Amino acid sequence: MTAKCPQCGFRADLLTETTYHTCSQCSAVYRVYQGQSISEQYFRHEPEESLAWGALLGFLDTEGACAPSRPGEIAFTYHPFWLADRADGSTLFKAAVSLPDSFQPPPSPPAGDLEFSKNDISSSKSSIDPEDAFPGAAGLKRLRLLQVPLYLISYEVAREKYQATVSGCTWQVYASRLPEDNGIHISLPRLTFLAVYLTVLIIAGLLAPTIIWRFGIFVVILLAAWALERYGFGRG
Amino acid sequence: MATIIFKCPQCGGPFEFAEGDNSSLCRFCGISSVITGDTGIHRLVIPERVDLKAARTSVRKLLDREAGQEFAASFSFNGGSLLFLPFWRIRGIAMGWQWCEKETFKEEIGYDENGARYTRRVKGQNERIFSLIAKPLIFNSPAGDYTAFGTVRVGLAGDVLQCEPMDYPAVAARGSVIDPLKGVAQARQEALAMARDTSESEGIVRRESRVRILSEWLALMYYPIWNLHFKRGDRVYPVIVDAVNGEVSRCRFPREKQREPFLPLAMIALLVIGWTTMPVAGVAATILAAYLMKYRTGALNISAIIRMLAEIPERGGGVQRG
Repeated sequence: MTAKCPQCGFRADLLTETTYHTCSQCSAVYRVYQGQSISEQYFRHEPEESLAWGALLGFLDTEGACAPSRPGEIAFTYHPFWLADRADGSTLFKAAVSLPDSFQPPPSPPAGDLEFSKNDISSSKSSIDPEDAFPGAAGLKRLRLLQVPLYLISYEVAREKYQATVSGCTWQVYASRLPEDNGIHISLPRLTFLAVYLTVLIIAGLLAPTIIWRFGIFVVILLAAWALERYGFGRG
Repeated sequence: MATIIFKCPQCGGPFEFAEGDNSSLCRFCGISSVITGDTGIHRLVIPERVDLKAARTSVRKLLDREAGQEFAASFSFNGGSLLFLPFWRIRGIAMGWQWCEKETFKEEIGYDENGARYTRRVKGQNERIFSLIAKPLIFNSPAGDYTAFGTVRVGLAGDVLQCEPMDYPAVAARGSVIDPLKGVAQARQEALAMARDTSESEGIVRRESRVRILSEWLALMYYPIWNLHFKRGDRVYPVIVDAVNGEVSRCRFPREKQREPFLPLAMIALLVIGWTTMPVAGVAATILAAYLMKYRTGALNISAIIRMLAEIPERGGGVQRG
């Protein structure tokens, strides 16, 4: 069969079972589906995990949710999505590979700088066919496969696991549930720090012979604890 | 109507096209030039008028004005980039017809057996209204989902400001050019929906219409915005600034007041010194600690005590746009 490159128009003779092809003229990678070539494009993005983590923390902050005390696990990926133009002008957008459990996909295509895929981009190949992605959607005019840069972040709050998806194009955060800020979480390091501080005070209070001694020792312990805290002791 | 400025290919003088025109004469050397678009679609760009420094200053001023200098100083600038968002611009004349069937009611006056007068609402014959539509149409529609960027006033800017023809390499060197993902067919549908007269909806039973756009002039208009990042601690807050008028179109800066770490330690020390001295001193220390707690945090309950001991920052308010 022959297929036409969606970027440069060069026709290539392909084997019937070919599903992906790299154009020999312009190096664009495109999918061949039922004899038709489908353009595969990706959003240009420089991965920056710290920015994605910061965007998630900022989002939790603005939503009034509880922020995790420890950094979560961040996985960057170019995730494939089908973008279909319908005959009536509307568009459909659906993940071409299911996201891992509990990760929320973006509901619409993000705004970004699109480029044709090259072989050097490590991206997932589509595993869900267009018919399965859009069941019963008649009149699909044009299909495109978009590789969307996503950060899949797993984090923990109060020993409970949460997942969030951060778009690399707009830094928007998508999550099905957020940790509620009910204000009763004390981290273990903080609890330990307070317990040790209280124990030392009680022992000193019981052992001190006079009120003056007790007052003096307490001032020393208080200043020492304050200094330790400023250096980061007892932080969650 | 927008004015598009080119450089004359012969003399280099400014060469003006009115929006919708395809050819024009240079007023300096008299040469006639023809404008052609990429695959039939004109691509225009509204040049940015606000640079990165001015965009940052605009955000700082907003924070300073709405939440004070201390709040503004708690955020640091963490980088930013210029984006050019594409909008479909459709200009033409919407022509067609509209027919609708509307329920009508009339009030009937009657008298009961005692002779008292009453009125009742009776359904009359349905009214059929046929109207012709012929009106100029100027419609702007985002060529993608731009909810992350807040409100962009492209319609006003496109009418008032001077546009330039899209020189992709030059514009891409200044910022990221966003690709249109929404097709023109959808933008046309939206334009036609706007052209239909749907202002009257009460009592409408059926409505039919056929409207077309005549003398259509279609363009992709790129509008510049600044996508900035501000940081507080390890948190990142995206901010969108209009690169034409410098207005902050989207931001969310929550207020977060860090707690004084000395207070919980001092209160614990006060309680222990009181209770390890004598019971009366313990009671006095407890009352003093409760007063201090109420005075500094404004609340005296279990949740407030735990929040203070855990050093959970106080939240609330802040600055928000879009």
